[in-house]
Parts: sequence; C-alpha cells; structure tokens
Amino acid sequence: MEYDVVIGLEIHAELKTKTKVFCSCKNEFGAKPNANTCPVCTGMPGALPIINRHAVELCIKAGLCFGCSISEYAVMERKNYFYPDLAKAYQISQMVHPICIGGGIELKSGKLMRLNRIHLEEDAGKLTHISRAVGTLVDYNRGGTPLIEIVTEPDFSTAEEVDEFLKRVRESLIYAGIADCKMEEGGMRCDVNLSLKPKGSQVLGTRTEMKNLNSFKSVTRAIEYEIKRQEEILDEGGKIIQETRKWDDAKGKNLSMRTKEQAQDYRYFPDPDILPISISKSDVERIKEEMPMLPEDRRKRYVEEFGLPEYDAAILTSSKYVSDYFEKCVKIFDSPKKISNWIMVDLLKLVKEQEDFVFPISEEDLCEIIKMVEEKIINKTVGLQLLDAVIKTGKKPSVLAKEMNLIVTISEKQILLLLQKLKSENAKVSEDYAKEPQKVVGFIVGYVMKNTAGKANAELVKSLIQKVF
Amino acid sequence: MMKAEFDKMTVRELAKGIKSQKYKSEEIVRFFAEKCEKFAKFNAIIEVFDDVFEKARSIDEKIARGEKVGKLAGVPVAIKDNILCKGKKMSCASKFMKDFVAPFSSTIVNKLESEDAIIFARTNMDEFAMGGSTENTIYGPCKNAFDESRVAGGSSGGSAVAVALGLCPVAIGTDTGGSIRQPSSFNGVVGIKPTYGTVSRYGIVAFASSTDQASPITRTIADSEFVLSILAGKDEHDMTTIDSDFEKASTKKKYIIGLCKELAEKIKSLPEYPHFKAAVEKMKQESFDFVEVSVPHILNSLACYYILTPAEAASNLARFDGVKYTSRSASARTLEEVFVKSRSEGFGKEVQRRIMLGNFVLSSGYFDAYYKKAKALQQLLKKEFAAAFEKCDCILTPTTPGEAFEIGGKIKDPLSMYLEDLFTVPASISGIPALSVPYAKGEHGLPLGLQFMGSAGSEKVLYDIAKKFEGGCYGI
Amino acid sequence: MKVDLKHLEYLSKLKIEDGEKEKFEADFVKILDFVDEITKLDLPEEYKAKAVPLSELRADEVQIVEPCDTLLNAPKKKDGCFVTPLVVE
Repeated sequence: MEYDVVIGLEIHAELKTKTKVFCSCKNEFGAKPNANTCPVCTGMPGALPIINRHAVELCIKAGLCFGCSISEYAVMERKNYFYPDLAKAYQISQMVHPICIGGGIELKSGKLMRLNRIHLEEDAGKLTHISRAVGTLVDYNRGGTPLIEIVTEPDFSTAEEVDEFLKRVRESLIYAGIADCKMEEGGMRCDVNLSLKPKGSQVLGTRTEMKNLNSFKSVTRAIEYEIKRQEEILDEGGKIIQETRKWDDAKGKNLSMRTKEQAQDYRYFPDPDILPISISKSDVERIKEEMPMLPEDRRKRYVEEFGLPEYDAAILTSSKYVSDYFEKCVKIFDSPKKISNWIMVDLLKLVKEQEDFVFPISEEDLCEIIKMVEEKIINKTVGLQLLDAVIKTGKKPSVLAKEMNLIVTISEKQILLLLQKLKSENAKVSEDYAKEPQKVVGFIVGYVMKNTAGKANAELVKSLIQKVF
Repeated sequence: MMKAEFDKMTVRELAKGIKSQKYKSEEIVRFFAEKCEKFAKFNAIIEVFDDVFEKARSIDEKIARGEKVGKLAGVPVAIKDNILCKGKKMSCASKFMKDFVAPFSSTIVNKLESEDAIIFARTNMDEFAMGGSTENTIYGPCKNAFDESRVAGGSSGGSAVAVALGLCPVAIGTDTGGSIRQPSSFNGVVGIKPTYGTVSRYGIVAFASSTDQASPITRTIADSEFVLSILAGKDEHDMTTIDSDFEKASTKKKYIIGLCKELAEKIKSLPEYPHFKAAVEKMKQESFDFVEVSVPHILNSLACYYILTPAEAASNLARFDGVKYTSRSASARTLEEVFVKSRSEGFGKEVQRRIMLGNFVLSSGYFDAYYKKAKALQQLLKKEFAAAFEKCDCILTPTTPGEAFEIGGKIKDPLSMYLEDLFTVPASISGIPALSVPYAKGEHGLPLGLQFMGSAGSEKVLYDIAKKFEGGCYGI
Repeated sequence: MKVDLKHLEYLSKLKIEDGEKEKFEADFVKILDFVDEITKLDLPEEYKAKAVPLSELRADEVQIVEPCDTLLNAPKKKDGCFVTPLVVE
C-alpha cells in the first residue's frame, strides 16, 4: 500500500544568555558538577525564580526570524512530573500564552512549513548513569538554562524537507545571535513526530515521537527508518502504538522507550511565582532593530541591489561571517561582483573544510589589492602574488607592492617632462584645454600612458595636467 | 526596672532600652531563653538557637563602642519553622525535613539581621503550614497560652503562643489562609496578613505561592506596625513583591466601617455574636460610621481557597522527593521507591491529603471545572472587594468562628478544621490586608479576635482604625 | 463523587496505606463535595493576571551574591553530584 507521511517537529535550542533563565548562575557548558548552581536552580525550598529579560528577548527574536506574531501577554506555566534531572519536579515552560505564535519558513520548493509556536522554557539537569552499585549521578549545571522550543505544524512529508528546514532554522538562530546550535553539545535537539496514512486519506494515523536525534544526519536516517518501520507494520495489518522511541545512531534503529503504565498528565498551570510578562509594540520594534539581516533577506539584497548571480548570493550568505565580511568590503570599495569573485574563488579556497574560519586578510587589505588590480596598477596574477604576500607577512599591500617591486612607478618628474614636451609640441592642446579642459584630459592621459607603457598613475597624471596647462 | 518585666515590654521599648544601654541585649536574651525552657510544655518553641548569647554580646559591644546599630538592635525575634536562616535547622515541623540545615537565609531574616535583631528561636507549626491547630507537627501539639487543653490555632500556633506567653517580644509567622490571624485570635495577640507582595517570600518554604505572606505576631498594634515596616519592601529575589509605603501615616479623621451583608447571617449565628455586636456598638459611639457593603461571592471563598492552595501546594511540595535535601526512605531500592516511599514516610497525613487534593483539581478532566473556575472566582472576588472598599475603609468581621477548640477536637475531621478559616480566607484569596486584634473573651474565658480587612495597600489605615478601637475597648 | 485514588497516588508519588484508604477516601470525597459548589457558579472563562513589563525583568548579568552549598542536605552524594539509584531509561 502507498502511504502519505506526516511529520511534525519539536526543536529545542539553547539560548545564548550569560545567565540561566530563572537565576543569575552562569549559563556555560562544561563546568565541574553543580559548580553553577544556586538555591533556585536546585529547587531548594524557599527559592523563587526571577526571569531573565534577555532570554525573553531572544525568544522574541526567534519569533521575528520566522515571522511569528509576538504575544502582548506571555505566561510561564509549570509542567509537573517527577524525574531526578528536574530539581523542582516541575519544568517552567509555556502552554496557553506562549511568547511567539504562528509563523513559518518557505522551503526552496515554495512549500510553506508552518510553525505552531515558539516558547521559552528551562532545561533539565544532566544524569550520568554509572552502575547499579553506584547509581545515577545528578548534576544541575544545565538545570535552568534557557531553551526555546520551536513547534511546527505537521507539514512535512519527507526527510529532505525536514533537513532543509532544520538547516534553515539553525542558520537563522546562529545568524541572529540567538543560539549557537552546537548539536554535539546538545545545543540544538530535535524530536520528530511521525505518522503514516493511506495515500490521499484525510484521517491522520497514530504517531510516534522520536528522541535523541543528535545530528542532521541522524534526523534523516531516523525518519527514513521510522517510515519503513511503520510501513511494514501497517502492510502486515498491524497497529502503530503511540509511544516515544529512542534513536540509536550506532545501530541505525530506534527502540521503544518503556511505555509508562499510566498516561502522562502534566497538570500545567500558571506559575504563581512568576508574573505574566507584557510585551509592548515598542519592545518588539526595539528588538527588531537589533536584529541583523537574515540570510534569506541578504540573498535577496545581493541579487537585487548588488546584481550578483543567485549562485554567488547563496555562497556569500552561507555563513554570517562571510556575508558580514563581504558587506564590509562593499562598503570600502563599491564593486560587489569583483569582491564576490575574489572571496568565492580566492579566499574561500584558503579556508576550505574549516568550520569556524576567519579569512587570513582584513577587509581593508583585500580591497586595496582588488582596487590596484581594477585600476590596472597591477594585473590579476600580480594581485594574487600580493595577496599571498600580505597573508604571509601581514604587511600592507601598498607597502609590499613597493618592496617587492611589483609596481614600476613612473615618477612625477617623468610625467611632468612628458607633459611639458606635449605642450611645447602641440599648441592646439593648450588652446583646447583653456576652453574645455574635460574634452582633452582623456587625450592627454592617453598620451602619457602611451609613452609610459601604461605604468603611470592616472590620478597623478590628471593632477599634474592642471599644473602644466 | 526588674528584669522579670522584659516580657511585659514592647519591641520598641526593648530596642530603646538596649540602644540607650539601660539593658543589655544579653540579659534580655537570657531572660527569654530561660522563660522558653520554663514553658517548654506548651510546645511553642522548637529550639532556641545556640548562638544567641554570643550574638547579643556582640550587639552590646557594638553599642558600647558607640557604633551605629539597627532599629531592632539586640531584640530577640522568633521565626516560624518554615523560614530559612543560614546554618540553622529548619524542618517545617515535618519528619521529612527533620535534619535540614538552611543553606541560605530568607530575605526577611536578612532584613531583621541588617537591623541587628537576634534571630532567637524557631517556633512550632502545622507541618508545611497546613492546618489550623498546630497539632500536625512532629514536636507535639502546641498548647493554647490560656488553656493547655486547647489548641494554639495554626498554622503559626507556636509563634502566637510564644508571644502570648511572653517567650519572645515578637515572632514571625506565615499566613496562607489565616495561619497568623487565627492563632493570634486564639491567644490574644495581634497578627496581620499584609497585602500580598508586601513581604518577600524568598527563603520561606512555599505552601501556596499566590497567598503566602509572612508577618510579625506581636502584643501591640504599634509593634506589629513597627516590625512589618522592617520586613516589607520590594525584593529582587521575589517577583511578586511590591513597594509599600509604611512611612506615611493615615490622615483620615473619621472612618467608615463596612459590615458585609453576605456574612451577616453567619456572624449572627456565632456564640460570640454578642461580643461582636457590643464591639460594633462601642465603635459607633467612638464616632465610627457604619455601612452595609456587599461582597456577593464571599461565601464561596472557602471552596475557592481549598482548590487553589492545594493545587499550588501539590506542585510546590513535589520538590521534596528524597533526592536533594529531605530524608530518603531507608528501604528505597529503585528511583520510584525513592520518590514514593520517601514521600509517603516523610509527609504527614494532612500534607498528603492536600497534595492529593491539589493533583486532583489540576488533573486532566477536572482542571477546567475546578482550578480554572477557582481562578476566575479569585479574580471576581478581587473586583467585588475593590467595589466594597469604594464605600468603606475597612470591613469588620470576627477573626474566627469561636474560641480555641479542644486539642484533638477537629483533627480527625479535616473538613470541620477547614471551616475554621471561613473569615480569614477571603482576604487571602483576594490579596488584601487583614489585621486581627484581640477584643473580647468568649464563654470559656478565652480570647477572641476582631478582623479588619482593607483594600490592597491600606495597612496604615487598618492600624489606625484598630488603634483607635483598641484604645477605646480593649487594652492589653 | 468517585475518586481514582490510584491515579492520584501516581501523580502525587504517594502511597496511602491499605488500612487507611477507606477513611482517606471518605474524607477526600467530603472535601470535594464541599468545594463542588464552585463548579456550579457562572463565571467568566478568561482571567488575566497583572503583568510585568518586559523592560522591568532581570538583566542578564552573572551575580553570585553568596556562595551556597547546594549539596549540603543531600541524602546521598558523590563527586559533587546528587545520587539516586540507577535510573533505567
């Protein structure tokens, strides 16, 4: 039988704040167990949560990235369940009044993947399972660090769509400085809800929820695996059990997580310790102004405003660093296509395969070299030699060009001699210059160039013409 | 002055005496510590802290050196056993927390200490502040200061009895639905439940977050006002705190007292009604004006309270799970056993009942009918009270339906115990201030309290009215 | 009013002893019957509590007012961690 696949996502991302979401403990990865804890994040009796403004602002920012509407009234609620990684035996999260509602991302195919909401919540602590004799160790360093949860509508039907969507989410969150999304540190996690229904059917099938997906690759593999697993069960006339399944990346399969004998009942209710938050239009405007242009918007701008090909625009916006670098260059030297060529062809190959790379040359120096080539002071081959030399020595291009004798400079005196020679030999030039200088400047410069094999500095020539004529 | 009279002095008299070096803080602290020992059978005081003499000496030295000291310099202050004071034991009168040592101090302890008060002792209470008699406690039932066969009231019974017996000049209690006012009424002392948010809850073990408030129990109204003004104020550790103005005195010359229409029948049916009626008559002569006001849903407050507070308590007390700071059941082998056995062995019956009640009203299928309804009713009650206070400066009721009842009298029947809170719960649910002052003695010769409820932030008005009334009708 | 005691025990992580179940349930039902009056009231659905403006929330600055030994009262600890029996996931 043929099936339609229905997939919805729940994406968690750790917010880039200095402190935790409800206390002033450091939000950092890798500290000694319980070093970053206080009465609040260990759920000590008498401790009370104090909400971090920046965490709320980052959640709003995430909403603005994906076109959500921002609530004017947001409420933190308690999600109650017992587990040792949850110090208070409830997680502070959001239910009825989340910070961001709706929104979506349009995939390259033009298909819109809708968001249901983005809300703010706290992360749980870390459990380390040692042995039966020792037991499980509980470390609350991560407890109370801020997370956003992005909940999508069940709009996905393939692993490819999910992959493209996740990459776009990650790119935007990093771009806007909301989250680092380091998947290997658990900085971004994705749960996949998946069900099948007979092709064309309106009735949704029973879904499973998959957890422990720690990389883009494992998300794709897990989805493909789960589609196949459900297909096989349904084809044999079996029933899908609504359950949570844990992905085992090493084995390439998922396993049912012990179904609880009792149905979960989280008993959400507004946290009486935390006042509801009112978010004004001017708050949202202020946060909007702080937002960098997102990759999608930058791509559009590069094509429409700078006249770059789509291909260039896509590569230049592939990381925030590269597009920031590119835009700074354009500000220094307004020749986007030329700069784009240099970055794409000559700079990116220098940092190939590196992750968090930095180009080995400053925007100013690169622009100086490009300018020299464009003004034909040097040719492109010499320009590349110069680039190499700047990277190696760290000296300024102009300094190096002289040191390396890359420019055969025609001296001012030589130009002056040539100009005087022209003046004495050709009286008409002087007459014409006196009447309409701009008409003959070109001719004079050309004359000098012809007699210096093009090695004279055109600007210098122009300024000297004024003196002589 | 004879040292035996420290227990007859007000907080301000003691503070003044210490500051002027008329008395030493150390002799005062020693006096009260000895008295606590003598009156141990009342089970009001759980422990006098062991560093009090040393602390008192250092205050005395500070004063002798002429250094500047705080408003409560050298004055012993007792705290209820659910208030954290760093390095001191705190148990909520529960077996579950018997050995707990506070790893940090509550904001109110910090405030008291920054005024150089001596955190003197911890007082008995109903376990986790749930109860109205101070019988639900591992330290033995606290006895009424006027009759040892009767209850202290609760949950801040230890604090009220300690002050009534003169074991300390002031004790801090907490009030969630009447837990300061009711025992104050039973023991002839002054207790106030301030406007919600007046006193920081940071470092006080939460029972019901949206109605919990701490405040002083004292022998005089002026002391209550004085100590509350020290405890009050916005706290960066408690989002729900508010700024309150205790500096500005009420300037009103003539007050209008409201009598709630919906409570009239209930009050008339009480055995203490003649006393209440006499008080009203007296006040009329004292040139208070009276007016009938309406709070249409006031009689539903109790039901509302017994839905909202257990719901919050169920969640607040879930953190006591045998993993982080409570005792752990010795027979627990698995994680589930750590949770279930530790909690079942650790919590007393009443606490377990409220947790289950709270989880019932929050659970799927009942949430809308109970919790959401109660929340909506709470909003409505706030509005109804606000409307009533357009017409009057305060609403007058008895604090309790009667005198202190007998020990063991209601403990077996939880609902009868809950009904004790009839007059105190409306102010808790609505977040408004309510002051209880002693005004008469009942048929068994036990004290009765009169309750003054006011609009949010009107503590000064309530104190002023009560002072005028106290002066006329009942002196301590 | 019927109460699913088992479910409440599960949610509460409590176990009422067998000998006490009957009395517990009777008291419980009595209290529920008492608070039941609320379900019959005609009240507005939505309630909105007083909110605090975003700008007044805590600034994102690390602040360690006073170091606190969060493991002080742990019934069992090891290597700076709280310890529970081995959790089987």
